Amino acid sequence: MTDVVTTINLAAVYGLIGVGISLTWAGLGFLNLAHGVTFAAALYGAWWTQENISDYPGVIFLGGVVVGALAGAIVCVSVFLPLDGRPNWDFRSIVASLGLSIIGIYTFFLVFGPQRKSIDFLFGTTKFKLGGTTITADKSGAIISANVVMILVVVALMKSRIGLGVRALTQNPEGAALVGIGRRQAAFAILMVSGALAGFAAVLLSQIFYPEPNIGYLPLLKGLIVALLGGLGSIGGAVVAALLVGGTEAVTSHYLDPGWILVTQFGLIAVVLLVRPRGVAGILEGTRA
Amino acid sequence: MRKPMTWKNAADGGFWGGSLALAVILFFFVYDNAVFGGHFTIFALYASINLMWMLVIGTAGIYSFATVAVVGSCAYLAAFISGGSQAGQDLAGARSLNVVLMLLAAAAFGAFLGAIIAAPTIRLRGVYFALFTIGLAEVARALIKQQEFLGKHQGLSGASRFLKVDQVATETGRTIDFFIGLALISFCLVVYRLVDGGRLGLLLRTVRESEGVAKGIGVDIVRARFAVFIISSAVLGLIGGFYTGYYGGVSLTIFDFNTLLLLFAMIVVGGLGSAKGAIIGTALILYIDRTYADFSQPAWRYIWIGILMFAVTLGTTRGLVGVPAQIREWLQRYRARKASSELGPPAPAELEAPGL
Repeated sequence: MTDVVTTINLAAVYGLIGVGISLTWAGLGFLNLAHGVTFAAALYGAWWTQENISDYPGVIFLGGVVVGALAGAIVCVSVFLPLDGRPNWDFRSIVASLGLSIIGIYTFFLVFGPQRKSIDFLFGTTKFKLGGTTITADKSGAIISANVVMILVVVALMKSRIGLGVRALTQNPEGAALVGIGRRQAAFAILMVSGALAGFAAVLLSQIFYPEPNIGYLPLLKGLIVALLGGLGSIGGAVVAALLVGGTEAVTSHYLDPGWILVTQFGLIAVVLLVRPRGVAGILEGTRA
Repeated sequence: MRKPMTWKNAADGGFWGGSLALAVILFFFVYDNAVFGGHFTIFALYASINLMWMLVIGTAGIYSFATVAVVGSCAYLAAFISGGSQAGQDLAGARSLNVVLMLLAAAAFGAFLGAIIAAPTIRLRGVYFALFTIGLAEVARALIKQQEFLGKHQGLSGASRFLKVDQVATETGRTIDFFIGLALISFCLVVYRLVDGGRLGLLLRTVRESEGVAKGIGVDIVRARFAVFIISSAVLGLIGGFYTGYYGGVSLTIFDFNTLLLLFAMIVVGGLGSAKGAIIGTALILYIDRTYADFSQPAWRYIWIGILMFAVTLGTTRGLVGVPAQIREWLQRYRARKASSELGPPAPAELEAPGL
């Protein structure tokens, strides 16, 4: 039971990161490797809010989400807009986003120093029992809030005008352009939303990933694993993949050792890609490539 | 039949000859070789890695980030089979291996790792490959740090070295290391030229430009990509063996994400698809890295490298090595625009097609 709770907890949070990466790829054809530094920026944003504005959990969450969204906007202005439509766009955008990551990480070093900061328990320290399993407020709060946010994102994608534009871009970029959907405006929306999602995930994981300059690398890897396993561009695939990744992590740390987590997760990806190069989305849609 | 000498060939020859001469002059006559020798060893390792990475990314267009994982894992294998042991344990002599056999074993292990990585992924499109391989160095680190026999967090030391014990930190030792570095770069250049300039390189460039055309003319895409990945992985394994041969051991820091970023910055700044780009990029980034390493705030070196990487990506299409061609193209366009504006708009009579 403890494993199930841990699985759902991790899946919910990794799903937020993976969906951001997947959405950016599907809508813009942009593999944003600066997503890790966005995560770190949001953590620092939440910590700064706690230290300088208010230690009320809602305000700390808001601080993280706003800084995450702003970091997404910076990625849009500095990487996407200057390179969009230029030769060799897919590779150059990867390079520029990695360049931005380097600049971001070491700017954090200069501004905040190498020491890790700490953020309070945002859902309190209470515990309750469910079917003989003790569940902390932190885990239950993360599971509920991450799922609520994920549902809100899906609803916004389905119902809002911007969501309609984003979906049109993911399905047929040329068609979307023909009916007047602005790729650049959509890019702002997509990158700010994925940054905000990374920010929300960062605050939820702030008891595991503390604010420090290099902290974004592992969450970026987890997000990439979810996006890759899910099949880039598929929200449904990303959700299923997040469950698989969270499950693998919980089972590995319970039966083997936490040190083996990345090994088993990459093993899982290798197996899935051998069978279906398009990941879980390929399995859901019954396609191979 | 002997090919005629062209300006391009002459410039190429001048670049490589000049680079070799510059390295020799700097080592023997300009700098204190106790300092320059250490930097040159790192340059030799990085430049060799980048030449092989260039084959995969530049020639084949495979967005692989597995480089550091392969080099590091093979360095560990080389250290282990040649007598390396965890710091504090005295297993010297328990295992020992001739350094040449150690290098060959590392190369074979590199090819094996390349096959394991490529088997599930070689069919993947560009970014999928990047996504899968970017975490492999971290996976290798996670695997190795679980293993007692690989020294866990401390790594391995006491492995076979190129130098004898009494040659370490001497003038003779540094000179030997320098020429070994030159030999390694030369070997990697030969491999690069053979693959990039040979039939395999031609096939890979065709695939890179258009998979549809490549399929249409009967290119076995998977086989060609698999071949280049195995060849480059084998040489990367060899470079891992050289790493151990130089330092007599290896630790988990070899898998640092920063190392991967630094290497990536080198090939991107220099220019993709060119051996010259790999060498120029390596020299430039390493110069920045070493210059700022001694400063009170070493974070600045990475910020400058990031800015350079960013600027080159936004401002150039083929990295620094492609800047002269880019300027020539820009000048040609400028002259053409100027000439057409001087001519003015065509007279109405000129617009009419004859006979209509």
